[in-house]
Amino acid sequence: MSEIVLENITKTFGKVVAVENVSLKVRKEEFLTLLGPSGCGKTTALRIVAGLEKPNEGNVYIDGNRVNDLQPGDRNIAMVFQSYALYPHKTVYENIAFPLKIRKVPKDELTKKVKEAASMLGIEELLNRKPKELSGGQRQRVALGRAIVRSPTAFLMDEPLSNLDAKLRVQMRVELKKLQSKLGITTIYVTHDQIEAMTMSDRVVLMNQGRIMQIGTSKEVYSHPDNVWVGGFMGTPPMNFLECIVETKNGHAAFTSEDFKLSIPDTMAKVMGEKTKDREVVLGFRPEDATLTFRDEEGAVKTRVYAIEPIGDALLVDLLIGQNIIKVRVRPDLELQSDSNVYLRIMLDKVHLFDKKNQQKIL
Amino acid sequence: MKIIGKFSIRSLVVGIFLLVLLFYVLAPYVWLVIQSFVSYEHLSMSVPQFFPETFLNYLRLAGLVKPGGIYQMNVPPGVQYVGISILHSFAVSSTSTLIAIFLGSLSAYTFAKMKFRGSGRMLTTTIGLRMLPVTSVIIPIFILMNTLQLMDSLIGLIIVYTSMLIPYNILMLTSFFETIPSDLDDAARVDGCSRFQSLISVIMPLASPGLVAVAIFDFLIAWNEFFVALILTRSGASYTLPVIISMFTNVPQMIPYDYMITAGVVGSLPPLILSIVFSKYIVKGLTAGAIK
Repeated sequence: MSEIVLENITKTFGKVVAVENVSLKVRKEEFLTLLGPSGCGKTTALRIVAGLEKPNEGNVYIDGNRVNDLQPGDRNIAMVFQSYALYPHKTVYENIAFPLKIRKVPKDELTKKVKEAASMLGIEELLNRKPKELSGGQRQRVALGRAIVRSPTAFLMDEPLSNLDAKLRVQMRVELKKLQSKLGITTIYVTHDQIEAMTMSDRVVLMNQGRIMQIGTSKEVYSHPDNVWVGGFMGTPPMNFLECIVETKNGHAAFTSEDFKLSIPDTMAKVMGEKTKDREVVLGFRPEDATLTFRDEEGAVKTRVYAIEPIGDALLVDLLIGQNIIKVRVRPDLELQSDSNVYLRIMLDKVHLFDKKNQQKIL
Repeated sequence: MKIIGKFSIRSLVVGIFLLVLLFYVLAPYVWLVIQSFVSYEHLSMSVPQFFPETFLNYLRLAGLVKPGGIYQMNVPPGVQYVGISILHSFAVSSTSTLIAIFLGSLSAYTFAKMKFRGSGRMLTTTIGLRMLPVTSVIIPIFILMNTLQLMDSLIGLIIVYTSMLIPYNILMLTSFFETIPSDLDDAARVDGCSRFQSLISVIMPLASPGLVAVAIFDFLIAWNEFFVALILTRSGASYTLPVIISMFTNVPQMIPYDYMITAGVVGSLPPLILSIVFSKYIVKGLTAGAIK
């Protein structure tokens, strides 16, 4: 199985910079996900690995070999497309056999491999059908069959689950991950769905506007975002952000803005150190890392209830702090009224601190 | 809406209009066919004949029956080449169609699936050149064919017809190829196909209705082409049917209506049969790009 390296890859389409100076290494047998919003460059990066696009700058290496000038068919990678890209004029058998037929694999061996692939995916009875006679899930399996039949050294998957209904998507997520683990094939997976990325990946690469924002495990990118963008992208609902200054008076520090003042415990202030003194920062915290109280307590911020969304196992409450809307997740039995005042307690040991200017993590 | 029997007034009006249109389109051809079965004497009369009466015109055209008496004078020049000219027309039309489809497909695939700088301008220029009337380029064509010693040859005609058909093919086929999802082309390339293999194995089979429609149009254009054939052909070695039919007018004594009408019917048969046999593809091809 292959190690894939992207080195300083840049790709432009006219004046649009689709991928900017992207470098990353995909380890052997790893399941790596490129995650980001539409237009962030993740599909372009995948297509560059596949050889379907040529980078303007940079190199692609597969197992240490530079492959920039290799045709897609010579890179020994297989790709599964969002639309499945099944050849409509060929039967399922012919679709799966096609990569082997192009490589002039002998007929007996070809038949054996096609049947093995079909058996692994449970689609043996579909071999004589045409793609238009198949359901979405069946087409997906055929697309996978075409990918695995020639034992590639890497899988490239471009949002393969996005055309499936929600229930099937959940089922296929598990099956896909199991298949990849069983075959041990290095996989680069592209998606805009955080749940897919978090549940399937060994590591996640977050991309925005053609650049890598962070690389890490699901836990790392969720719990330790490197910048405001990652914090705001990961999580549903996303992280809350409050702009403030770290003000120090009489030896005591506080997060201060015109809408609130939050004392910083001495232990935390020590960790923050001198570098944050009088600095403009962005205070980030997740909706589940705050609680509500009806009393004006020490360390609580006065807010007004803007909206209440019951979601079954919790309440999502929108709170107004000045002009900012903050979302918190609280227990479902909390009785709240819209437009009423409540007090927000942020768990300061779980906050994230970012520099306001460069949006990068401080703490 | 007022109903008469099973039909509304509106559908009746539309139906009548369509019938009139159908009559307008079909009547001249039906008349031509009927008159090809009418004897020369009755063709010359002022009272029209509405019913077929004889196969003699076809037998004369084929040279199986010689006209006698005064009708010997209305045998037009070139009638001995009718049979061979049909074969020439068929050979030239089908060969230039096949070559133009193949070469046009290569270009159309490039324009449709491979984005490169200047591709839009190049496509427009290719089509724009085709807009030049043949009469404006016939002299250079004549000189070129003469220099290459391809005058009065089928190969010369094939070369010229192919070059006339290719720009039209590129335009039409680019549109058809653009309707085929690029994912399929990408998938074929990842599966191991070269660009050419992807075109042959994936793109062209899927574009087959469009390919057939364009091929039919190519054949019809080449089959009916007269002006270039008139200039480039000199003898029975290369005469095509439109040129032979035009020769039938060179009879000063008695205009050979019988030969002209009969040859016209014979000449119309191959394209007519092709159009009927492949009508499904023509309709599919014409509407392929209309719905996304």
